[in-house]
Amino acid sequence: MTWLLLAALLTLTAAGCARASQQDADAALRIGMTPIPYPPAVGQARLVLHVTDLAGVPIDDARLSIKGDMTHAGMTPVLAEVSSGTGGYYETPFEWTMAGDWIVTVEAWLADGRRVRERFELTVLTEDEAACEDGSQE
Amino acid sequence: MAARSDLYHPRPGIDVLRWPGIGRFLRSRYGRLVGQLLLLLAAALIVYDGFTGPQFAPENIATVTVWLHYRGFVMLGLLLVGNLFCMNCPFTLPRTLARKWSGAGRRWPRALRNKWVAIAVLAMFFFLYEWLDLWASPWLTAWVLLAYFAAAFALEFAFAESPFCKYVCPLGTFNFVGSTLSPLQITVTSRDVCRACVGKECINGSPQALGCGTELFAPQIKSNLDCTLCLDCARACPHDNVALVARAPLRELSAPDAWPRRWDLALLIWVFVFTGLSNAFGMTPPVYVLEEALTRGLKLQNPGAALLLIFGVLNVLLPLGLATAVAGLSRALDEPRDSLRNHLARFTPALVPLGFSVWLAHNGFHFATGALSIFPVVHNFLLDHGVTALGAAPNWQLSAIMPFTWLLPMQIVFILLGFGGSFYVLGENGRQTNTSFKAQLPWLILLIGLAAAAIALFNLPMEMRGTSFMH
Repeated sequence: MTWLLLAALLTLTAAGCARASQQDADAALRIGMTPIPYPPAVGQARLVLHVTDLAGVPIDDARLSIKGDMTHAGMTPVLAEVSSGTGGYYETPFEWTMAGDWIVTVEAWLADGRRVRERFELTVLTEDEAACEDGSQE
Repeated sequence: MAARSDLYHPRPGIDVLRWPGIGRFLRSRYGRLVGQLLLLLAAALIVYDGFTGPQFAPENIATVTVWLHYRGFVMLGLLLVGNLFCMNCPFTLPRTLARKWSGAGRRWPRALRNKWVAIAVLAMFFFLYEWLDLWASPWLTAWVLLAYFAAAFALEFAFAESPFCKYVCPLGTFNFVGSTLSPLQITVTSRDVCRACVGKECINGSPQALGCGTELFAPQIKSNLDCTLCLDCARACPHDNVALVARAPLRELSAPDAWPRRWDLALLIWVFVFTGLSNAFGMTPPVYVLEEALTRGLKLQNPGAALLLIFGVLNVLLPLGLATAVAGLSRALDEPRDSLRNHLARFTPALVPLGFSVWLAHNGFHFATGALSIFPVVHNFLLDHGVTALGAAPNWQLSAIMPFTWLLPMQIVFILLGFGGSFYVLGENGRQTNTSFKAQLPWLILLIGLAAAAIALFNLPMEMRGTSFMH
């Protein structure tokens, strides 16, 4: 019995080395993200996303789904959606609920069903740190 | 006339091993194996997703189950039942196989038959947790599990007893301390049966079951320390004389003779308490300020060096220093004076309820904020493998099991209850050993200070930064 279980463990691990997600993206797009204000700080903010094709042509009819997570498990993610842009720019309100390291996942669905996913890493400051940043830049 | 035996005098009480259904199942040959197999399957899934799944902690089964669910459930289990994780530990499943290969094996070295190695491993584990950001890395979390399997197997192979559980495993070490608060304990139904027993199968083993892996003699058990709740003693006993009995809250901690009076045992408790505080401290803004100040001030090249300094002081040097100071002052105020070791051993158990409450508040916080996230994570796992039965998109909003505004009050209640338990144990131990109030005062001040520190800590905003992969 123990042999079988250990063999199963090894087999699963070996098989998993070739694992590919069924959800992998299949569209050739570029997505850029700018949090406003920058650098981001705890509290209400806005996210400005720029969606273009590989040649740089703006795309205005994508549906964007945004999920903000911290780098550790256990925090309720911050979710947002926006479905129309101008000149390839999409804007949505967003709340940074905690200071620290964040990963924002942006998924864009095109009208023809194709999609792309990008992840952005950033650090959100505390209100005090943000105030110091503002002071040092004046 | 033969000298009177000091075998434990069992008191009538609830015996879980006599409950209909569950009692028979637990005593059966496969009682432990079922739980171990379930956890082994969970471990296999954790390792698989940890290595091959999204390398993103909120979306990986490895990080979500280990750092949220395990930490939450283990505290609840210890508080409400006993050492349930060690009872169902999958890491010791290869134990029988290892023993078959190794034959008799050697005895664990006499010089290491104490908790010093366990303390070092526990402190090292918590340092690695901070330095390598284990909680944020599915890959590293998977490696932690594999390391446990490898270490358990290697030690079972090399030695005749179960040294991994008793002298090394940081999970077991942590759970042993926590289980000193648990409501259930192994004992015997009749001491006369034990006195007449020739084979002592509860410790030596029988053809049906291995004896106690940590070499506890059932009729003499006064403490849950070193008891993995494996129930091998119950299965091996040819007289069906072993019981799993309910006991009064804080009974073990307020019995002055329940624990041996050893330096290593006392320091283990102090490390348990201080790692609880430091583990929470590691997730608050002041730790980053301190880390930065040390790195700049000491011109450190490696950020790990600053962390080693911080957590080496908090987890080892500070408890060591405070233990010596508090026990020393208590001893100086007491009459007649006992040895420093005895003073330390006498009152150190009073730290356990408060230390446990700090861990409960911290682990409970993370469990409360993220327990439901297992559903979208598993859903995502299934989608990754082409299974769409649960829908096309996980509901990532599933996370917390209570409103965020409840968390701080919950934590403060835990700390206050823990302080109350510690206060009671301190008073009881003082009364039973005729220690003056003056001599107990240093311990009381310590408890107040630790409780205040815990409450201040949990009032700080949480902040996680400096994650390894973001450097």
